[in-house]
Amino acid sequence: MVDFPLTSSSYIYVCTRLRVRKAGLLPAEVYMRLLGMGLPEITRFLGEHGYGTEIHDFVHRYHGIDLVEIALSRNLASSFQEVIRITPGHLKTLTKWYLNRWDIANVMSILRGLHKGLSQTWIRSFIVPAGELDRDALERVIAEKTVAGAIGQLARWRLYPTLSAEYGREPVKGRFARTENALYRMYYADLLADCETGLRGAPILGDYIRLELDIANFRNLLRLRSVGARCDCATEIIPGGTIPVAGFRELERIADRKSFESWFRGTRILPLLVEALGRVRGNPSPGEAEALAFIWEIWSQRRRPMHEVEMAVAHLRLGRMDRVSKLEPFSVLAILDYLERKKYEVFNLRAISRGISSGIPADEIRHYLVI
Amino acid sequence: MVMGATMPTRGELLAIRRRIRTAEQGHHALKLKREILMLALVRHVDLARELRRKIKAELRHARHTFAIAEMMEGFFGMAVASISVEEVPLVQVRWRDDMRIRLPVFEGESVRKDLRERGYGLLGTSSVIDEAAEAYEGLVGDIIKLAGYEASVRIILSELGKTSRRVNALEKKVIPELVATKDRIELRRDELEREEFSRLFFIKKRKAVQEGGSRPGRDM
Repeated sequence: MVDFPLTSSSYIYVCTRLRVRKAGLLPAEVYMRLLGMGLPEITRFLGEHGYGTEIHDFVHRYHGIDLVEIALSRNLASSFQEVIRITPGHLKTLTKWYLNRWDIANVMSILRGLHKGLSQTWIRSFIVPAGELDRDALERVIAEKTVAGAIGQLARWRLYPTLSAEYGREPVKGRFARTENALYRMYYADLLADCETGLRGAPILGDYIRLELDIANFRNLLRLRSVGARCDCATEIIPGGTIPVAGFRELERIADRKSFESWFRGTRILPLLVEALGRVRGNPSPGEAEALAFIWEIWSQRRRPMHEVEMAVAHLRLGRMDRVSKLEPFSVLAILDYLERKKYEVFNLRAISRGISSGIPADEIRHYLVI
Repeated sequence: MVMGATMPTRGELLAIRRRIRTAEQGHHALKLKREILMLALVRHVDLARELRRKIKAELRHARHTFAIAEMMEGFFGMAVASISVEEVPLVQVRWRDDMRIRLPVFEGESVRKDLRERGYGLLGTSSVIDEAAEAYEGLVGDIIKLAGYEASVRIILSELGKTSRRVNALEKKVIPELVATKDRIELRRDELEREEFSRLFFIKKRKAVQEGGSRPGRDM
């Protein structure tokens, strides 16, 4: 646990700057317009609205959807690295640690690529250096010839102890998946511990993370259930949410509707689900009963989570982050609000571009946007 | 068969008759085999056609789920999930006997995988990848099965061709030639019998005439 001293003027500067940037992000109406365009028009639009540098940098090497995707990824990475650069002191540290989730994805991609013997060019194309590990740090890891050497290069990374301990464990089969799961569990544990410090806005951030964990854990439980697998709660449930691990163990044993609804009523997911379902179904005031019936149907029939509902939940959480960041305007929340919105802007643009290039109808693409 | 090479004896006639009987029995058996092969061919073709139809629908669905997954995870997310696979699917070939021909049965190994066996972590991925992976696993499994059906169809066709040729050879050449030889032998034997009869008749007549000449007044 680290103590973060307060520095008001630097907070005000960074938070204000990021609020301005957030205001410059694309509004929902723009996505609707983009849904009616073709890929060349979208590329031109991106070139004229904040992604011009990346489009011009890669236009000679990529074209079509590949150009759009690489431009979006690189823009995201440079935006996040810029945020880390301008954020001062301990705020920078918390921001870096929050963005460690990108580092986990990058590190696992590199290790898998090295294990498969892929070329450095290929491995380089997978990474999005949007976290604590910048491009140079990741390049040093990619330059290693072996997985052990690559892990050695990460000795100064915060999650290195978990990485080296987990990767060295037997059995060899499933090693990468196990390591990845362990890294995410440690990531969230460390992040929640960091949120217990005196940094302004950190307790609210902790609350935000805990709800995120509840949603992620429940979603993963549904995934496992849909393929008939039992959840290994020790390794596949991330502890730290408002619903304890024992709660998910109890849920797995529930077979009747009444017990299930009683369990679900006690969670913070239900109000969010009610609102999300209302958005998806166009019903302004859905009731708890409707939401419980919906989730029971998915649970009892062992279906996968509905993506539209997931997108609606993500949108609602963004709205809540926006509201609480206004309660604490000069806190880490303003930074995270921008980071999350920027992430979803890139997500939406990529979804629209990919969907159009694959010939998916606009109406269907719309269901997969966070707007 | 050259008539000159076959003596018109009773022994040869009996041998030819035996050969004709054997050829006719073989012809009957091969015709039956040809019909069974036809039925098997039709059955396998129907199975292959049904499976092709199913694979076409599965491919459309798999492409759609992959497109959705690419929309949500991006090319890089999908590429990383793809390289996470630790166990590459294998094809095992088993042979079964059907009407004395060996037909292959193709079976996939490690094609369909449990969520945990695919190699990507549960906590860092979403269910769109599960759906795409499941769709393509089902597709690959059925493609392997279809390959087995199509290989069986080729083998059955080859065997059917061979059997048809043998049936036709028996029907149009071997049996007619044997029958013709048999007829010729029978004809020749009848001729020889008639000649012998005529010869004996004339000998008897001459004898009678000779005996009549020594005893005048006796009628023939």
